[in-house]
Amino acid sequence: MSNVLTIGWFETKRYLGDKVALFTTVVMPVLLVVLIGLSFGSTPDRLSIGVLTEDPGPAASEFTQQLESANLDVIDYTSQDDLARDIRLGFITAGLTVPAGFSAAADSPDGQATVTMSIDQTSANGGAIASAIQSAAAQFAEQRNAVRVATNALGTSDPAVADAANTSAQQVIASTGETTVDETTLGALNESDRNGFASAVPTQLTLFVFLNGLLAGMTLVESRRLGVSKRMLATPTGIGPHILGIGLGRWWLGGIQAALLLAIGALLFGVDFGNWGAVAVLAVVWTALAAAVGMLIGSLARTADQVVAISVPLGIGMGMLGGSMWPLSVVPPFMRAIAHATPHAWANDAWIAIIDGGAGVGGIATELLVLSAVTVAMASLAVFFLRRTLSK
Amino acid sequence: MADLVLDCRDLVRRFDSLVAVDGVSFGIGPGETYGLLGPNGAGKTTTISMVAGLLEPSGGTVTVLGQEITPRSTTAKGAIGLVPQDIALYPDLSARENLTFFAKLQGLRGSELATRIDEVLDIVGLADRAGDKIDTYSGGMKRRANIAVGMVHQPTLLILDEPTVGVDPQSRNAILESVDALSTTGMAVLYTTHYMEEAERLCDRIGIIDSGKLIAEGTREELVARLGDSTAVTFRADGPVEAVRGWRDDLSQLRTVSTVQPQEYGATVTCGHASEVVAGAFSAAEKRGVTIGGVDVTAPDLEAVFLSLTGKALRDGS
Ligand SMILES: Nc1ncnc2c1ncn2[C@@H]1O[C@H](COP(=O)(O)OP(=O)(O)O)[C@@H](O)[C@H]1O
Ligand SMILES: [Mg+2]
Repeated sequence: MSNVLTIGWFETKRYLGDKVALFTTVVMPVLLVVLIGLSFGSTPDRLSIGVLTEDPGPAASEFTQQLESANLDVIDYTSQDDLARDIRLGFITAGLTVPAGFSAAADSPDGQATVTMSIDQTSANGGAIASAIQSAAAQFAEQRNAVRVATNALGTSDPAVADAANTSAQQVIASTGETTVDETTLGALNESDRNGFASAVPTQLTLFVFLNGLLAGMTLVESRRLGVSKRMLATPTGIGPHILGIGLGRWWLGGIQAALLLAIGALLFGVDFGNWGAVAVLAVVWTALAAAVGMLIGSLARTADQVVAISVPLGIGMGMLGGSMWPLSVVPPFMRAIAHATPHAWANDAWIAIIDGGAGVGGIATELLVLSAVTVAMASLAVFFLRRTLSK
Repeated sequence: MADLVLDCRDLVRRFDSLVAVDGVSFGIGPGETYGLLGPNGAGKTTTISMVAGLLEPSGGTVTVLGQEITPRSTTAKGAIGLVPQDIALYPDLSARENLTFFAKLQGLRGSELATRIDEVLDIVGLADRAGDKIDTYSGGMKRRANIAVGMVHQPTLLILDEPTVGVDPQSRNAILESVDALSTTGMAVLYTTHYMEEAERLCDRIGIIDSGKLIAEGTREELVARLGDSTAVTFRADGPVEAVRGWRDDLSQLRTVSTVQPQEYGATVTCGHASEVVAGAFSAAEKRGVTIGGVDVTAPDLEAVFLSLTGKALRDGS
């Protein structure tokens, strides 16, 4: 056992000396979480909405510009169906339809124009978006009014006309035009549009911890290439402790990676992970699983290049299939069934249960059991194949 | 026999149809330095891998201090220190860190660990570079660090597999001196080499191995005595290819000649009466139209022993 720790400690030490490796474990996933968290929307200062413009007039495009300057990210849509679907899927929180005749209405003497807003009620950002849209609409109306005042006042310096303009301005203000927002609500079908980081952190954690675990196979290949593996086996160290030691080095590095992502999610982006005990157990089991699969690859591959060639497509492919790229709630049921051939699907299910369902360790027991069984199986296969490789 | 540190009995190892080690038996006593001398491909590394418990024998047994060694042994391996033929160190760690790592795997801790590391660094002359990464070392320094790791835990049996291959003469000498010094510490040493001089200089007893078989064993004197009063005579000869070939056949017909080893220009002959053979060789050469450009007579040595046992030179091309 102490040899396992010794090997694990020296692997960590060597890893920490490797700046490139450190970048891929720590800096990259953090960057990606931030990027994905931001683009899946919904940081408080930049909200995205879908806009369907059915009116070709100038007032309609001015209105859209007004939305953009109100710090809303405008995504253009061309069909009402697409807009409604994306709100349901949680890709956007709100959609606006600018109807035909909008410009004409806005330019009419009373300036009364109407747009339609659909909003996902369940979204945490729904309120923020609605009020951002309301205030953009109010500003747009005010601007139109001011334009009308100015137009009326233009073209003369005659005091008599100035008087008339004054009167006219008063008239305009008396009949202030409004751009009304008609509000309807749509329920989103899934949970992916909570705080964007509530899904970005666990899915990227699953993806990256796994990928780094697989790449840890390189350490094992390298250790064989250097002859250090055989040398270890010439000491009172069996093959099991040898693999466990190298795996352990990666296990706690994966743990650091996971802890970092979780801390960033919780502290910087305000994700509420719920039950931290369950979070910790799941993260520990997942990092062990990743290291075990990495050791299996490392015991089979001949070169470090082979490890990369296997790990990258495998890690990304399993991530895609298993719901680390998009939520499994948007895929058809048969794909969801296939997805559960990957450990990722089980891990992602567990994360959703913890974060959305408030589950504790007991609530994710099935997932933990499946993941642990896979870990033990992978580690055993790794020992089997490494023994074969080394005795050649 | 119970006193043996290492006892190998009838070791066999096959790789598919190739029999790399073919019934090798030998023993090493406490404090004894045993040389396994043989050309490349003779089966030295394969034998050593079985002794160190890295390779499963196809047959036979290895016992170290009375305990059988197999790839599944663990604690028993603590008695062995292995210095593999190729450098087996972490290049991105320093010599001290590599030593610490392997010493810990051998169970050393605390002040014993620190003392032993300083001791072996001194023995191999790396004390002043101990903190530098291995990949900044010269080839010879890497070899010395490689040796240090093998003996850091004071093994009862130290195994060195061709530790001087590809090393500059200075480092080679340093390595030989440190191995020589070990014999006074009571460590049993198993030393493989294809350099006759190293075996002669270091080893108390030598086993000559060829094609997986241990073909002779004994002290240097015992081995040379097996040749009787045999002497190696090397002729440099020149002439038409056919003539030289015929002349070599003549040599083998001469009285007391036991082997004739063709050389690129001439031949090496082992024989009982050097002067008679030299005279015979000259008269045969004259008849064949072959010119003898030089004669070299060497007193019997391990090279000659190997030649007389196998009919070939120990080192190819030299
Ligand atoms: N893993 C292996 N697989 C197949 N053949 C091997 C293997 N290891 C060694 N051999 C063969 O066994 C013979 C002895 O090799 P080795 O023990 O390395 O010789 P030496 O160390 O004396 O140079 C050689 O013919 C070599 O090619
Ligand atoms: Mg060898």
